[in-house]
Amino acid sequence: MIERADIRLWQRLLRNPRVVVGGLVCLLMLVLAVGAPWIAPADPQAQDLIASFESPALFGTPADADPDAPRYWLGTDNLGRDVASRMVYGTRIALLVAVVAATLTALVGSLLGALAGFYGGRVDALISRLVDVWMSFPPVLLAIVLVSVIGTGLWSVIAAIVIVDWTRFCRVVRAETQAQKALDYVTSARMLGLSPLRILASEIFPNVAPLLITLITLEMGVAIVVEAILSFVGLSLASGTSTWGGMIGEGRLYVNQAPWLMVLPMLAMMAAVLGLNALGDGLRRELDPVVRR
Amino acid sequence: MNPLVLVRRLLLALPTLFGVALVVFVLMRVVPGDPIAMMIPPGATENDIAVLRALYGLDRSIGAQFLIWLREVGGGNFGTSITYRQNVLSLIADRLPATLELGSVAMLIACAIGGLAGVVSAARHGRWLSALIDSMAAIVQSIPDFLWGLIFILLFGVLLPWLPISGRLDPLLSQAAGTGFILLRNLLDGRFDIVGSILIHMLAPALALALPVAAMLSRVLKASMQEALASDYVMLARLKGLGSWRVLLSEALPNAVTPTLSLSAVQFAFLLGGTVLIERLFSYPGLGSLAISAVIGRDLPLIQAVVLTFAVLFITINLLVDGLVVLLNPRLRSAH
Amino acid sequence: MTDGTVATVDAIDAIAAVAPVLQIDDLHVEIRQSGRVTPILRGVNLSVSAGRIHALVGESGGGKSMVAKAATGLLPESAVTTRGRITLDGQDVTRWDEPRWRTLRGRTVSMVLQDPLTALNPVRRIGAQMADVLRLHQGLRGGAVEAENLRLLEQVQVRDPTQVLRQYPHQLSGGMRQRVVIAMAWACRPRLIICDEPTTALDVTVQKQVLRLIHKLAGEGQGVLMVTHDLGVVAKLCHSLSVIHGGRILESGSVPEVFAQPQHAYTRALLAATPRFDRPGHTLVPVDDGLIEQLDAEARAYDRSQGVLA
Repeated sequence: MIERADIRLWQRLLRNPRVVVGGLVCLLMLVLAVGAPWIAPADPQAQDLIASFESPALFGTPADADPDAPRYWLGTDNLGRDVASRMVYGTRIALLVAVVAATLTALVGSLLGALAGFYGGRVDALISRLVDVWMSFPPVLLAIVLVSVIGTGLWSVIAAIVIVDWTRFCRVVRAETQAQKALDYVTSARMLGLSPLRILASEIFPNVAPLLITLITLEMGVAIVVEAILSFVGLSLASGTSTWGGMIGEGRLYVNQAPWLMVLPMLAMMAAVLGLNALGDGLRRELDPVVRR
Repeated sequence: MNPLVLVRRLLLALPTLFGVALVVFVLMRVVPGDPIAMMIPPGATENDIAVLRALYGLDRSIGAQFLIWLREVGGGNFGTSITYRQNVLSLIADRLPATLELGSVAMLIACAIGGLAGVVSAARHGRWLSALIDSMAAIVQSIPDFLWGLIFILLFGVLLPWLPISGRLDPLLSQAAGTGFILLRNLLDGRFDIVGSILIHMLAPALALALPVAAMLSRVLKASMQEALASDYVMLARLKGLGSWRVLLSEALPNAVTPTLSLSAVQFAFLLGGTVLIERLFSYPGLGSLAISAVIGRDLPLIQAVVLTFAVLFITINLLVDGLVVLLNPRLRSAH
Repeated sequence: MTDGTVATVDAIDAIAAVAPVLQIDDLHVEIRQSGRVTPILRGVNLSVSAGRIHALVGESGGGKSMVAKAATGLLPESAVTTRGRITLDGQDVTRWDEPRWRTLRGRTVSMVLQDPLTALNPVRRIGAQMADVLRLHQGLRGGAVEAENLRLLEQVQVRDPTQVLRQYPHQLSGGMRQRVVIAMAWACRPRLIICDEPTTALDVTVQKQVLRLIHKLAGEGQGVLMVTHDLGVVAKLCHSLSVIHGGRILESGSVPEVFAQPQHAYTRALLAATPRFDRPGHTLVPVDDGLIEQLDAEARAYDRSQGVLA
């Protein structure tokens, strides 16, 4: 039997079913997001009131349908907009928010966590108290209140996510930094007179990195959900843009006559979140030396 | 039991409370526009406006404003709601019991499902049942309560209309049921028809809230159980000749529950936060739906009151569970 | 006799002709996991008689714990007994399943574990934990349980037993805890008591007391299997011993004989590595790596001769 240690990292990753499935989902999202203008069959904003509430062509077309009429594979909504195109462009927003928000959240949270863990004492007390206060607020409510205060728009959404969820990274990185700091190699680095920043960057960070990668993928899932919630409530982007949450919100109003309007974006969201979580879980299993035993 | 332990934790919670109040205050002041202008009911005179301004100390420094605000809020004076034209405190008092009942029922369901799943998965580890439970838990946990709410609305609203998907109980019974903690009161009164109606209406939203929490609880409990099962005292229990279910439930489980408990506190708090959306989805008249209405209506006095209420709830729950953990762990009880 | 084993007839036992409480004959156990086969016990022969304390000596990983687990039916799920026989109190328990083992555990065989702190459930009171075996195997209820608990604690020389019964494990000292564990093991007067390194986790003064206690209890007629790596304990307490390494019994016999005239190189090496008060000026010699390699090679050769593919 081949020892795990002998196989290089990529090969190991590719053998893990979670990583593969999650990775494929993310890849698909990426392709759809980047290639939206070419992949989407129609303009997502184009309204055609005559063709409103067309059921998805995937499920078959009525026999008397006009063969020259455009086929809407996933149907149309109340304003006659092509659902498939809207979903594709929705992927773009979702991914954009996910990547940017997750990265920024990770940066802010990790920085504060590292500072708290490394310096300890008053700095730690202050930051920890801040985290405690922050975590006393229900995250969804806080995000909604924030966006209503800051105003709507893509960057408001991203800011809201960062402001609400930075504590997740802070706690984890703080704990890791404290643990690493107690280890001998950090003490020797300090003895050598290396600056704290240098130590954090070159000694502690590589050990924290695998954990961070996992958390970032999870955070991306969270960002997608929060964005969807915000657009569901009508607080995200301008109502014209196609977001999954917005589609769900609108679709809800017509759930009896056109259930696909709500179901399809829900499925997209679930697939995205499940894929990201699977990827994160798989990465954690492969990269965490303790779990790998 | 050492009461000093609890007193100490209570004292530690105070700075957090203060911090929370500070954040809410800052948040409200950050709102662009004249805060007073938003709080004035239509038809107010110049005099009324001046009174309000003085009341909120807007002619004074920010620090003084904060203190004035703190005093008002501490005394329960949140002002009048713009959208509802009612006293904010009474609005909250009206809606809070409904949310607490929903949250508690949801948490009970989560503990029951999560507890069962965790124990079974630990007992049958290595076999297909355990693997099935674990993968289902992973999937369920990934789907946020908001999505579960939508799924249930689809399910019970469109596909299988078994359960009602709006309201707190059958409107015909609402007179008899009363207000406030109607589930509790009618349960104690023996009015099971009302209790039944309430529970049926609660089922879908409570499940939506409970499922992700149940999934997480089952995973954490399973891990704790496995740790307990690998211990020496479990081996000794087996050596005494005790049966495997007996060992599982009376030796391993009591030890596995305590670490899971503190996690449950955080989960309960998040679950309550989830009511903000779920109540709106199911038209359930609680604090959560009040919060959403307040935000959409830009009703500042109401918003700040709701946010504060939720925060205080969170802190209280954490305190209570901390106390519970100390109570259950004999080592912590006799220490200090 | 398997290769490399040197056996001396135990004269005392032969004369006493006492039927062994535990008899292990030619036991072969393998661990089968993830497609790998690892032999753990390679033809172990062992016997413990009533009223006698028999030591199983060897380094960690030599198979001592596995023998103890085999004798209580607690081998891991991945372990397979490929050959041999275990006879406990006259019954052949080699292929017994869990429900049958449960009838023996606590009643016919019991065990004293190494670390008394982890051996006791931290969230249950002492009295409750001790009551388990009494309720289960002796059918005692209510007041009779408490009375018997007190009696047991007095037997193991615990002062203030009434107080101890109400306490939690963390409230007792290490020595007290170990006495409680011994009391639990002894409660139903099992035919065989297995002690797995019972004094390793205790400090020296307490060790002596606990060993004296075990000696006293053995005098009541139980057979004791003392699993240990501490030859000092063996010298003080045991009547006979078996030396185990790599799952093979290398030497066995009565303690005075083996200590005076060790036949196997490994036994000699162990003795040389132990401080000997009967030989002042004796230098400690660590067990030679070369010897270990030789023993490992012998073990592998044995495996091949048995047709085991590891």
